Formats: sequence, C-alpha cells, structure tokens
Amino acid sequence: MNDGKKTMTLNLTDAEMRVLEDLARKKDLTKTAVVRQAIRLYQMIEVRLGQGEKLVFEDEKAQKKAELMVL
Amino acid sequence: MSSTPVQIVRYDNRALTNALLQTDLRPRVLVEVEQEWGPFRRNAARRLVQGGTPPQEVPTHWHWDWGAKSQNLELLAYRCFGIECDRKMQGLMMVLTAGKQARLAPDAGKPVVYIDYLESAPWNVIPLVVVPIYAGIGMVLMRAAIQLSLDEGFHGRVALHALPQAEEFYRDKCRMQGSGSDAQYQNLPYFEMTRDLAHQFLTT
Repeated sequence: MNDGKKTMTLNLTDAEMRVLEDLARKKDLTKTAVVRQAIRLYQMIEVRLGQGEKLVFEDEKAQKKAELMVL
Repeated sequence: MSSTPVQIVRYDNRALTNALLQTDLRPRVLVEVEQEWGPFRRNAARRLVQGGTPPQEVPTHWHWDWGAKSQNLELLAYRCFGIECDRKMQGLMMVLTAGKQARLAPDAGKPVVYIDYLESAPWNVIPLVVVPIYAGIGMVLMRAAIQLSLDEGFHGRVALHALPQAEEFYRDKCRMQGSGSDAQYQNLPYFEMTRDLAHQFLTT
C-alpha cells in the first residue's frame, strides 16, 4: 500500500510549522499524515467546487451559514 | 494494483479457501464487476418481491451501482478493495481516508477510515440466494479497513453507517460500537471501531 512514494523538502515559516505541529498533536498524526490529509481534502474540495457544488460552514445554534470561497 | 493473500470460507463445507485481497482497485474493474453483479442482484431482488418476500427483508442495496461509484476513485481520498476468488470478485469495499472524524471517546475528533460501501457478491448473500458460495467476506474486508487505518496512522479507527440488514453484522460480528441513528445521514445507525475495539478485532 506504500508503493511509489516520493520524498520532498517542505519549506514552512515558523507560524506554518507551528500550525502543522499543533494539528499533528491534536489529530494524533505525524506531520506527513497531516499534509497527506490536507492534499486529499484540498483535491476533494477543488473537484466538487468544479462540479458546481458549494462549500458551506453552518452554525446551527446561531443559525448562520457562510459559503467558503476557495482560491 | 497490489494484492495480498487472504482466506474466505466455502459456505457448503466450511472449508477455508485461498483468495486475493486487491488493495487498490481501478475504476475500470468496478465497472466490470457491476456488469456481473448488477443484473444478478436486481433479478434476485425482483424474484424475492414477486415471491412475496416482505419489502423490509429485500436487501436494501439491490440498486447499488459500483460503476457509478467508481467515479469516486478519481479522488485521492477514496480507495477501493476487493476480494478475488475463482476469477470473480467476491466482495468490494470503498473507503474514504480523509474528511471523516471519530465521534466516540477517547478519540473523538481524530481521523477515521470511513467505510462508504461494503458489499459481498450477490451470490454470497442470503436471501439473494438460498445457499451462498462463500462466507466471511465482510470480516476480511473489515480487517483490511482496520489495517489501512493503522497504515494511515489512524490507530485502527474505522467508522460507517449501516444499512438496516447489516446492523447485526457490524454490532455482533465486528463488535463495533453503535451510537444510534444519525439524523444527518438518512437516520442510518452509526458504528465505530475504536482503537481498542480494532485491537480486539485483530487479536481474537
């Protein structure tokens, strides 16, 4: 299941690295796994937006909905 | 496409039979499988209805279409596993490896492998047939989902929503923890394999 993996160097700012480390701690994942998750989610969002769907955040308590614009 | 040897059970004599677990099926394979499974599944469901089987006892997945589901595999987040034996696919499972979180303690909020679809070939499913050919397909696929979860760093966590006729399998055979019906998901019951339950599944 791990065939064909490539290695790359990732240059991050201190702030970006802090966020990556926080996410890894919070989700109990390695930093590599967090980046992998991010790529999968980004691709999914990109494809579904391309198909005309919208990405919406909803706060049921406050009865608020906000559409997220992805660049 | 990579594969691992596994064993499934012949239903008639309970003999263990060698099979292959395909761990990364391509869309074309799902289209081909559906060409074989679809007519078998739909005809069997039609016979059940015409024979007077109560609607709630007709497998609710009779209309599934793996050919249509194969489009999901264009996304990195989806993976599809299959069990091959006698040159036929005996079971399929499509999972999602991003965007789903555990709901149950102690790992609520942490990622899970989410089983989107799991199906045994229709000739292995009672009541679509009276005597199935193979059994144990679901257990092998569940083990594969747990192994994938471990490989992904999710500690064996797996989650799913069960169709009514599959509830017993996930609750009693797989020993997953249920958290009741999910109003956000067609009121289907939600089940989770926590990291401890996954460990128990793999060691018993």
